[in-house]
Amino acid sequence: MALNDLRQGEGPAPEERDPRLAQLYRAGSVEEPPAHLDAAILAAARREVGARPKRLGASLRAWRVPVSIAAVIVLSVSLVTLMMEEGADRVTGIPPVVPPAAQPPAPPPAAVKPESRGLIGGQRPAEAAKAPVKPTPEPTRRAAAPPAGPVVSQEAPAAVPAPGRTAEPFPGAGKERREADDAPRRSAPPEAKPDAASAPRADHEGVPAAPTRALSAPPAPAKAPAEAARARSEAGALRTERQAAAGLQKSALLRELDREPPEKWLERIEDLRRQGEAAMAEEVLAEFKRRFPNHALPTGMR
Amino acid sequence: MLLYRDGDAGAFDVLYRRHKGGLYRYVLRHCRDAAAAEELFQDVWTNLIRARAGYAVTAKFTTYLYRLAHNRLIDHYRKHGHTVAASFDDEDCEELANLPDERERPQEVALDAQRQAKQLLALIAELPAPQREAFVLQQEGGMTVEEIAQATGVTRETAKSRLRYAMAKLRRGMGEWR
Repeated sequence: MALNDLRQGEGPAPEERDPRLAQLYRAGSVEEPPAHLDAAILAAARREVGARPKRLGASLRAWRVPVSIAAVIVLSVSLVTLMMEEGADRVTGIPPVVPPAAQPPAPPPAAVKPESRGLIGGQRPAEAAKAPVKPTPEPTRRAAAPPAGPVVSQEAPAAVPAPGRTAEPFPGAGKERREADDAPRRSAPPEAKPDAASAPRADHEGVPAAPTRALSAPPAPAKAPAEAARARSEAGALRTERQAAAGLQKSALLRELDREPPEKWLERIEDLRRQGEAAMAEEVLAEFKRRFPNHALPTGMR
Repeated sequence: MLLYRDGDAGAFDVLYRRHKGGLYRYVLRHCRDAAAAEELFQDVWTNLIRARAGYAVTAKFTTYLYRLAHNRLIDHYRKHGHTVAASFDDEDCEELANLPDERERPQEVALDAQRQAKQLLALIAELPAPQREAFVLQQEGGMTVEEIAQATGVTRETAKSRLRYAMAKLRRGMGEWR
């Protein structure tokens, strides 16, 4: 049989393909790769396909960084939001504290009764409301500070001046006192300036005293002036209301005693003293002396 | 191969069974050393496995596979300072006109097919590497001239020329068995 029996023109040229050679080649080519090579290659191929979950893991790994960044951002924003909310509560509830050295000297309280300030200045409103009218020593921390203005709680039955106060004309006493008490308010605008240096004034003028915890709390730099001004204005309004209430109470008491005999006056003064309202008792006694200068006084009232 | 790329391990088994013999012999014809052939054979399949994810159909898979093998062989030759690598660049082109036509030779001796096959393999081993490669690619890969050119990175004319020279030499060498 001829080695090359392909005819010209059919498929590849005879010089490019020879069936006889191909047949002989196939007959002699029986080599195969060894079995261990087959096993190794097939195992490698399966490992590669078995590594597909790793590709899934790789895609998850690719998401690790963005997910981590997103988590950090969410946590940070949450923390900052929480801190801002808590910080706002703190600043609202606690007036900022400035070291005493930075406190400007208080303006002379020309229109404010010094004895009234000394009476309950520096006390907390609730304490002032409950406490009997008596001179209260200032805390050591505030010893060098100027005396605070009169603070009278709305719940307090009466806020009376300190004993030893000079007598004043009875009919106009309420009006004069209201005018005197209003004086600090008229001079309030300078205090109301959002000035950090004047912030402590709010504390000394009868603003509810800050808890001890607040003394160590750092003042919020941005909010301190505004908060202090607001606290001062609130304190001024509260003080005015309390003064007005005290004046009304005294006027009502004097009207009640207006047509009463001197003995009734003395009994009422005694009642007031027994109730601990010494300041009010003194004011009523002063008015009694003005109205009944010739009436004999008991020994304890002279 | 596309199935295997997408994770079908069974597809690779089919692919391997279909091509392992031809590829192994292709490598073996070049190396003539079974140990080196096994190493190169394994390397080719390993490279194919590693290239799985990026596999795209640009040619017949057989062409792609033998292209990998061809490149691996070239690397092997260069690494070992083999002169065969240079022979891929030096065409061993005898004039076809000078070659005798075996078809005109009388078949004087008739031997069994096994002996003829052995003789053919010996003649193949003596072929220049490019011609041997072209012939083996045609026989083992069933490739056309175009596919041989594609797998070996040469022009069609070069591949055709190599194949023709290989055929002519083999025919001439086998002429005595006719």
